Amino acid sequence: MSSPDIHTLTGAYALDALDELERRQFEAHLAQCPECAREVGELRATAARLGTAAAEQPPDALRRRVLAQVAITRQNSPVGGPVPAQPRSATTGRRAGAGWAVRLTAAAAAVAAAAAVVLGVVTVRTAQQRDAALAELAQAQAQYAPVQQLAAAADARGGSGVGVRGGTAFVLASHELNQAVLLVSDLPAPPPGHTYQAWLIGQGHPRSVGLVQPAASNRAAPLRFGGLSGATKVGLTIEPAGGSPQPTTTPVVLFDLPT
Amino acid sequence: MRDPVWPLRRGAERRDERDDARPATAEDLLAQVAKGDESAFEQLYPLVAGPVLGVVRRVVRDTAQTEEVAQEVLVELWRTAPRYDPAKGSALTWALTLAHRRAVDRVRSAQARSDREQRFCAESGARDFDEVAETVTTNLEREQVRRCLGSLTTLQRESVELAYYGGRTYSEVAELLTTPLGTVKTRLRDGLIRLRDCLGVA
Repeated sequence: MSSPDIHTLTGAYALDALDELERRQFEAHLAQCPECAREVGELRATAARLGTAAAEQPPDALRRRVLAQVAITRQNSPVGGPVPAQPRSATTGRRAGAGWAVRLTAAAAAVAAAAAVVLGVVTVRTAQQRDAALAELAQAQAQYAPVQQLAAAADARGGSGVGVRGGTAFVLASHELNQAVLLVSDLPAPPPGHTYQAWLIGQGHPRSVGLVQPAASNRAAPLRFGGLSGATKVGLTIEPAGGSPQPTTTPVVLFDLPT
Repeated sequence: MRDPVWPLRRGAERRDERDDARPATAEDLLAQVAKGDESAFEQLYPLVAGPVLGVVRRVVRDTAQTEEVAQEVLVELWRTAPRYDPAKGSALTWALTLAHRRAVDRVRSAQARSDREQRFCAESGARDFDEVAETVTTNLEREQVRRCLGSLTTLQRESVELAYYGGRTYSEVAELLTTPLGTVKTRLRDGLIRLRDCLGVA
């Protein structure tokens, strides 16, 4: 490739329209040509706009598969050579013994897909956000004293998840107080002889934080619990009446413990 | 680049610690993802998945392969997040660069190529931009891109569309448009530059 016209390849390069050999040659040139690199950056951003214009609604199943795979995929080191190509076996790779965390993440994606909603976690940081969180609490019968006490904590954070068969769960947590409350709203009644059981999930086995029995009003009293350290997620499963030492079903609600 | 097409959803309202008043941008989220934050990835996902899937489909066409490649790209976004450098472009540009390159890699493999040649003959040429656009919701971004593509010369526009949406190399573009190689190289560049200025890409 002759040097004088190599600059005109910025467009073809930004559009991935060079063959493999030319691409490598041009990348070698780019490393020594800041002006070309700047132009490539702009033209890439321009090409990306062509991509944005082709955006479509992704199917829920894609999200489920991506999140399940992300849960078992180690990230690259921030330093080192060029990003290596992803191994073709990636879609079939499964790490043995990943256990609960993997199944829970897949379940979380299933929850999202079934409910056709994105599991949302709202981090409460500003006064305005806290007001919004408190309003949500009010909706979920926030007149209970423990809830208000927690909400007053300086580091109070709220998070919520949507149930696979409807309803929502909301957690307000203060890591400073090492306390949290769980409120549920409109969860379908569990099958006869069964109950909802709430779990904190982190490293190791999930830890039961108590049973949640939706009342006739479809709202259970707030469940207060502590021992937040190490936990990253909150889940609700359906268990036989009286609860189980460990979850026996996949969660119907699963979301991040607010931090 | 801000992306008006895929506004932040409720789940993406996580705030940046350094600036309480500003909603998390895709760049903030990708920086969190780089630290292994899966919940940040869940918030980033709705901002990038639609454009990634759209780009891959335009190039790959086959439904099953499209979703397979899109999945690879989105997982690659997670995997390579620690290498993302915001100085080199927006998070969406990064995601779509990964998407386009991977889609192009897929269709340029030998088998895929021969399949495509046959299909391409049957279709007799590049698809018009409008053909696919009609299947998705009209929005301002799409309108603006359409308008700006319309401001290019025919040769510029056809070259850019064949290369980007068709995943063609510039020598393939030259053959398809029966135009000299050097001309196509130049048209790809000056076409993109004109698009850049029309779209106001900084």
